[in-house]
Amino acid sequence: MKRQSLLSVLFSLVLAFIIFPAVSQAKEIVVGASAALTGKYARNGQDQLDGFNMWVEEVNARGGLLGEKVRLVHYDDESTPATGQKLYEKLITDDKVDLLIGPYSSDVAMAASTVAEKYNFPMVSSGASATEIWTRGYKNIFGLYTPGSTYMEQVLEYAKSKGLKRVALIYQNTAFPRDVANGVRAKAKALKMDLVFDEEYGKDSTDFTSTTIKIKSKKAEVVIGASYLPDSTAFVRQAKENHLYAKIFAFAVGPALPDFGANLGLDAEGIMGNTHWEPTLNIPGAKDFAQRYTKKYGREPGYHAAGGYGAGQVLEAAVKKANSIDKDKLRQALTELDTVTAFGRYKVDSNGMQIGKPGYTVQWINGVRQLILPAKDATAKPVYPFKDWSKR
Amino acid sequence: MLNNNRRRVSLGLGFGLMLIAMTAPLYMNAYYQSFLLQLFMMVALAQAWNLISGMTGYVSFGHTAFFGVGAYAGALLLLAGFPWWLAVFKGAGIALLLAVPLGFLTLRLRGPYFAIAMLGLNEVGRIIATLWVDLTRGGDGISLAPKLLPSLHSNYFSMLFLALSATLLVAFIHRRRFGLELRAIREDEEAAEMVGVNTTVNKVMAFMLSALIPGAAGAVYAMYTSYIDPSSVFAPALNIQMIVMVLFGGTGTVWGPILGAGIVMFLREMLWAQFPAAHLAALGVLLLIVVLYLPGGIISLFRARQQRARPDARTGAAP
Repeated sequence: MKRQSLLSVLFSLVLAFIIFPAVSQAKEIVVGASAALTGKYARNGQDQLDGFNMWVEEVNARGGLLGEKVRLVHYDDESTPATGQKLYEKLITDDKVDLLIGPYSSDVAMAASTVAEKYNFPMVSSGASATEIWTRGYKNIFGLYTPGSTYMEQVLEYAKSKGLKRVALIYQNTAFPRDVANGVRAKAKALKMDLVFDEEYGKDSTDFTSTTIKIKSKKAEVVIGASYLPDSTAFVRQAKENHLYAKIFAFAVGPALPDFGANLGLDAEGIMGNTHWEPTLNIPGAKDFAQRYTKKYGREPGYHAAGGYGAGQVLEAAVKKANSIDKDKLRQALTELDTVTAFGRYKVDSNGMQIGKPGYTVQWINGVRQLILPAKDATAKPVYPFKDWSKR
Repeated sequence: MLNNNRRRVSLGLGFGLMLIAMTAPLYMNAYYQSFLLQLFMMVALAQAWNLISGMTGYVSFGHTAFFGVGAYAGALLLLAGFPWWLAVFKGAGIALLLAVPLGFLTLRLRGPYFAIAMLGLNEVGRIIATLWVDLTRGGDGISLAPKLLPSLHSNYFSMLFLALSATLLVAFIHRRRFGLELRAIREDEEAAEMVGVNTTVNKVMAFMLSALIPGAAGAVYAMYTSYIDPSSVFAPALNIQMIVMVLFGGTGTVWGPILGAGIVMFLREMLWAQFPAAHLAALGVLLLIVVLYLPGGIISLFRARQQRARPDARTGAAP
């Protein structure tokens, strides 16, 4: 009997927690976000979160938004769409946040943006770039990143200018890499290049031995990987082990991150990648942001961190423009806004897709990530052709 | 007398829980409803797993195959313009039909062979969903627009209905000859056959019933999350969760999976926001303790107490 009553007391306590949510606090503007703190996007998610946090700190030092203090509420989405979905439901209906920032990665953003759309809640998305996110007719998702389908255009144009023809493409089977891959196919066709190899690989694969051997047999001159950090790193290692050689190696996401060079050392030399942002870019506030970030966190910001910070700035500009946090006014402000943040220009089309910001291409040269394309923003001349693995 | 008592407690408890679940949308915000919805989903899935693996002892590592099939069927039918409830029915139906040939094929295997075959089945499902791009859109996943989706309330009550029917199904079978025969298969399949149990038909029947529920749950899940991709629905991790919850609560019992799902989900919910990653480790340790010291699951705590109480009850009643 005793145990039964103990159990029922416990049970009622649990119920009480559910029925009476925590008492709300003093007046402030609450920004909600999910961040990938565990799982396969953990590295990028943490960088992005650091960017958000830095913006929150700075905006409060400037006196907050509309005279109120800004507070960030964030949870770990475990790099999975289902958890992200649940979290945005929580942020909107339980935490009742005033402003929303999107999650990292296109697949989590796909799910999260549907929640935002359901509640008609405008969301500024940093960290998602699959074109499909903006072709579903949603009215509440505003992107900072250049769409994924344009990622490899500069690399392919450069390859063409060097007279290369044979392109090998590998891509991960999730939303964003598939979008990049579609872009590669379209661009290769437009440039009349031959796609001699085109293969998809699993979400968690890190074994590319057979892939590298197959590409080798196709005598590809350009190898393009639509990838994230772990897979691009693994691929480069195995390409070296299996003596896969091409004139150009380019990967999405990975090479743009400091970790890529740190993990691969000499093997990173000459590898190209895409970036949305570099500290050296001639954008007002970019260098300054990079310095403050490095001072605060003890490491250089990559584009994920800058994107997080930029998302905060876009929200700030939109709230100022709307002079309100009313959802409808904010949505309109985000649609009309044309501004420059430390991350670059923000201007979207009627679907909320980013059209104001160009993409950039980087290359690892002498242990440093250098911006090589477009030429007007370049910090170094491209190194071409790729130096063979054994000759370094 | 005691049996009656237990039955009454069971009924009372069940009725109370149902009352809470039915009225919850009146006073709970959308997030807590979402939480309960996921709890119901896990109860339904755990019961489905319990039905085949708990009762017959055929441990399935691939029940998410049916979940995934249901999710894809539900999402695609919804996109094709079917009303949501019909899409759920059809999703469940497709999973059920699929279970017939698969059951006949895989249930010839015993022990670890069956477990591995089912794990493989889930992988096959995931790979088909990845490669059949024309139908499933492959790794892009399927995104369902809000205007297509049923309301949170509809999803909530659908999942509640699934959890309830899965539980009633297990309870019903438990008391029938069918349930006894299934448990006989678990204890000794040859012996069961010797005494005239048609083991093949029984196993396949149980397998079909246990595929029906994940099929329906998958379809509702797709409509609830609005976005599915091959690795999020053909997810071995989800299958592990079903197993964990059943083991945790008590294998082969009616209340075990409910208890297991309830405890695991509540603990997760309380821990995860504060301790990303660490909460999974904590759950793992807890499970280890339960499996080592309470092989019958949490439910055996209640059982043991009742058994101890039996002699007292008798002497109390005798004079």
